[in-house]
Amino acid sequence: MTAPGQDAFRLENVSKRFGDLEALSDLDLRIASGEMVGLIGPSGAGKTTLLRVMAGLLQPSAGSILVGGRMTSKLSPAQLRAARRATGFIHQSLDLVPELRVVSNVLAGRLGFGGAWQALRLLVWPPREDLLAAHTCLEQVALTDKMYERSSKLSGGQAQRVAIARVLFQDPAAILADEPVSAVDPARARDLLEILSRINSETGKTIVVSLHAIDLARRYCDRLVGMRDGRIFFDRKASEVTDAELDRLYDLNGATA
Amino acid sequence: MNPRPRLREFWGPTWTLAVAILLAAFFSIVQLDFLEGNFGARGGLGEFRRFFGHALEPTLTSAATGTSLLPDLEEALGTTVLVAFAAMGLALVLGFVFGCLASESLWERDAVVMETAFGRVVDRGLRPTWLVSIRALLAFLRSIHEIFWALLFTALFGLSMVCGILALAVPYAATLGRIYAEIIDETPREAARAIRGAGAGRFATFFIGLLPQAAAGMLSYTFYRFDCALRSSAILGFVGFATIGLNIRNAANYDHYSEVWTYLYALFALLVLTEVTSSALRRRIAAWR
Repeated sequence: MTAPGQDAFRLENVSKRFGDLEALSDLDLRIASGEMVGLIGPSGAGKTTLLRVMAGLLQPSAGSILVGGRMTSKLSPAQLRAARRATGFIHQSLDLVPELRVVSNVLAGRLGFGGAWQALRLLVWPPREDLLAAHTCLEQVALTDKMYERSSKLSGGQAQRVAIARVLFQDPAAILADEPVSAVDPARARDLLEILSRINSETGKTIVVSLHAIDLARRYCDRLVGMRDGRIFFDRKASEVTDAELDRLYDLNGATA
Repeated sequence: MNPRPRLREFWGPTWTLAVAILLAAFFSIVQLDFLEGNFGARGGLGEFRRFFGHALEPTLTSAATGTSLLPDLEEALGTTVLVAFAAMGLALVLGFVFGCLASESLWERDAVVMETAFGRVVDRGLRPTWLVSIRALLAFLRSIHEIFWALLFTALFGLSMVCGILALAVPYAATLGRIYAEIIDETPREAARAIRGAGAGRFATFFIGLLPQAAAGMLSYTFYRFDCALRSSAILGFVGFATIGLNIRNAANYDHYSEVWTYLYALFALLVLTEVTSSALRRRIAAWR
C-alpha cells in the first residue's frame, strides 16, 4: 500500500504505438493515492490503452511509468508479477471463467500470490479463511446468494459485480476499470459506480475508471481526465469541468484545447 | 486467337484423380489374381456359406465339451471391458500430460516481459523446437497401430496382460494428447489473460483460466475414444490376449460357427450398450457447458 498523498501512478512522456497508429502520444499523468479518477473521451481516444499500460498489461513504446513509486517497464517475469498484483483490473468484457463457479472466480483474484500448486488447491480444496474472505468480498457487491452459482448463468450486471469482487479479493492498492458499465442498463450502471465509489471512500484504494456516460463520471468521480487522440485534453476537478469543454472533447470535427 | 479447348481442362484435377485411383485399383486387382476367386485352401465359397448359415443359430453350449458357454462368454466380455478401462485410464493420465505440454497456450509469451538474450533464445529456438518435437513424438506414437504395438510387446516380453494394456495405452495416449492440445488451444484466452494480468504465473493461469473451459470438450472426446478402446480391446484377442477376440478366433479355427456367432452377437451388444451410454453422457456434457 502507498501512503495517502503519495502518487499512486506517475506517467512521464508515455507513448504507445501500434504499427502506424499512435494510441498514446507523449502523455504525462499523475494520480494521487486515494483519488477516484474518471477517464472520458471519444472512442479511439486511447483510454483502454492508457489503462492497460498503467496495469502492466501492455509495454509502452516510450516513457516511464511508476506505480506506487515502482517502475513497471523493463521488468523480469517475477518483478512483473509483483507489479501486476499491486493493481487490479476490471475488463470491459468481464473475462470470468464461465465454467467455474462464482466463488472460484473470486478466489482466482489472488492467484498472483502463489504457484501452480495453490491454483490446483483452489479448485479442489480452498483454505477456509479464503472462502470467508471471498464471502466478504461478495457481500460488498451484494452477491453472496450467487456464491456457488456457475458464472455462465449470471446476468451481465451480476458478472460485472463478480469481477469487482475478484479485484477486491486480490486487494490491490489501486483498481483500474475499463468501461465497466458499457454492457448494463442505466440503473445497474449507477449501482456499480456506487459500489466503486464506496470502495474508494471506505478503503482508500485509488480508482481509475473509463466511462462513456458523462453524467455518471461527473457524479461519482473527484477528478476527470478528458482524452482525445492519445493526448490529455483536459484534467481537472469533476465539479469544474464545463459543458463547453465536454462539447469540444466529443466534437466530431476535431477541436483544439 | 483462342487456344484449342482441351478435354483435360474440362475434366479438372478432381476427375483426373478419381480416374487415376480407379485405374490403380484395377491394376492391383489384376496383378493379384483377385478375379480368379481363389479363396484359399480351407473351403472356398462353400465355407463362407456355411458360416453365414449359422448366423441365426447361435449356441450357448460348447461344441468341444458339451458344457455351457456362458462362463467363457462372461469371462471374455469381462476381460475385454477391463483391458479397455485399464488402457483408457493410463492413456487418460498420460494423454493429459502430453496435451498440456503440447499446447501452445501453456507456453504463450507474455508481451510485457523485458526482452533479454535468453528470452530471444526461448522465442526463436527453444519454444518452437519443443512444440515441434513433442508433436512429432505424439505423431510417431499414434501412427503405429495398436496391433503392431501388441505384436512388438509380445515379441519383446511375451504374452502378458501388461503388454496388452500397454499396446492400447501408448497409441491412445498419443491421440488423446494431440486432441487435448487442440481443444485447449481453441479455448478463448480472455479469461486466462485477465488472471495473468492479476499477476498469476504461467501454470496457475493455465490450470484456472484455460483448463476449466476446455474440460467439457476433453471429457466428451475421452468418452468417444473409450468406444474405440473397447473395439480395439476385442481385436487384441486375435493376437492372443484373453479378450473376446481370442474366443472368436478359436471357435472359428475349429469350425464352431454357432459359437462364433454367439460371441459376435455378445460383442455387438456390448458395443451398442457403450455407444448409447457414452453418447448420452456426451449430450449431457454438451448441455452442461
